[in-house]
Amino acid sequence: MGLTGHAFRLNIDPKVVHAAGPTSFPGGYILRRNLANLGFISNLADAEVPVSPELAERTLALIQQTIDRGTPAIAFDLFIPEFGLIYGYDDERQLFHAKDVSQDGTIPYGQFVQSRIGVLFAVTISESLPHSKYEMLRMALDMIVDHARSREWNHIFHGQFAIGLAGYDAWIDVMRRREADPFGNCFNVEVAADARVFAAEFLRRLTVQWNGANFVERTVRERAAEAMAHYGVVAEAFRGLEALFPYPRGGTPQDPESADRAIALLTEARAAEERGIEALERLLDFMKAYYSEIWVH
Amino acid sequence: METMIRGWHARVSALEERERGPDGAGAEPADGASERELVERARFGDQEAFGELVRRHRAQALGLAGKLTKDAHLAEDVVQEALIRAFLHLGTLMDTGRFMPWFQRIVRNQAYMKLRRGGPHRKEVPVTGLAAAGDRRQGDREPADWHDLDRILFRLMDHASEEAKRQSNPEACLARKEMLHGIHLLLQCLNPRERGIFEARFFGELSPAEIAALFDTTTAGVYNSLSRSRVKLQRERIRIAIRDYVQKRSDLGLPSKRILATPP
Repeated sequence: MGLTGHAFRLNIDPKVVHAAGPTSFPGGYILRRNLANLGFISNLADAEVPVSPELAERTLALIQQTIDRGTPAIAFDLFIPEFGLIYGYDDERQLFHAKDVSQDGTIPYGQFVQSRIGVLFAVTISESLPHSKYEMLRMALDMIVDHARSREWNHIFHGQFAIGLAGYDAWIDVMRRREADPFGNCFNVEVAADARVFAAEFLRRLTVQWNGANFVERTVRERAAEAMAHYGVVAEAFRGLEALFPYPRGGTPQDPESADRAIALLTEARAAEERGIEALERLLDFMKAYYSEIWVH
Repeated sequence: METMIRGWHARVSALEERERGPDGAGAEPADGASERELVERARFGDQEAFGELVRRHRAQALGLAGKLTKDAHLAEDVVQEALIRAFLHLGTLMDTGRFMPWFQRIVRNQAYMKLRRGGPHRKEVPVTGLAAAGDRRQGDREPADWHDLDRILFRLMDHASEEAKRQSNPEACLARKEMLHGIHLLLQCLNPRERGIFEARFFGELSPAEIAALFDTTTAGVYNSLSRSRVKLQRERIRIAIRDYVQKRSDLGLPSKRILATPP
């Protein structure tokens, strides 16, 4: 979740903090950029439904090709509207073997093609590229910072969701209006709380995995440690929100007392995250100047 | 999933959404439930309700949900456009003698409809364009713009006239036969009543009111049936395409089954 930036995401519905927020982002674009950051060449299928037989065939073929190469395909809304993996096919029975967070099972080809989300979506990995750790970190930071500052390309969801630091503002605003949807709110808390724990852990690993042998390595460690401290505060604030709005019942977010408590915690999280992002921005600026994998000096 | 969904796709999706009956593939236990009910169920850990909530909200965010069903003219437009698309692949190889009068009647009706409607496109009079149909500028082989009915119609006509030229070609005749067989197959997936309405609409080009009288139903009932027929046709086309695809893979000697280790 670190190198792909997902640990640092916040995608908030500004009306009621709806449960659709966390997954309402341009998936094809973000996932392929994630895969590029990790060093993979990727493919995308996103034909509009109802799909023509030809596009249906090409999508099925794309998925079967990656499985033949030994790598599952990424899809959306296999069993529930979340990302999941297709890891097997059976032409005789005309079905895929797939798994998402809700279940491991099979999906008939015909049902897969009749997608319920408007497009027939699949992302597959075609090849792995050699990648420098400098490059990977720089690209990850670039994504993280762009997202936090709402500069991320948002395509058709543009303007529908508040992203990054602006997500906190939208969330706080909903709480002030006492209009949070109990289920959506606790689901967003759950997702963000989980993500920020990973964010702090990702930064912690940078402080130990980069070896300190030269100035670049040392700077990465220092800046990551600084950001880690701030993200630790963010994660802590979300733990407080989790206690207030336990998933899936979600407590009473429209109740003034709960809402005000939530505003305090979200304000705290936002302030810490902004300081964390500033540290990561400084690190990104610094990383932009260094490209050598080995530096003897 | 981020691909833009617009024009008739969106409108038809919304129609389909309305059409999904208990037997539809899209039918979910959560269907028809209010947002409030779904939220309540999701709060008790109901995953179907969670899924439905998220899908609906996404659709709204994408502007898929419309109030179109209340607009009879729009509904007619949507159905006509959708059906023309469904028939685009079939109609190309249909018997020209039967196809042309049907086709011309659609164009004429569409023209009247547009004239009647006026609005931003009131100056686009398809009948005028029809006279220029022989103009080869219209005969490009580029994919048709599905949002512009006139272009779809020109494309249809282009196909039809090309087909007429190929009449002496036995291969083309064979292909046409197969296509007609395909149409026959596809129509089999409709129940007799739906099929009757479908055929009346397409081959007779009766008005929805005439069809309604013929089948002793309301105009809304006709729209519903047409829309359901289109969905069924689409499913049937996909079912056949998948069957052929799997057969082709088998003929090519490609592996028929591969299951990787279950992801963690």
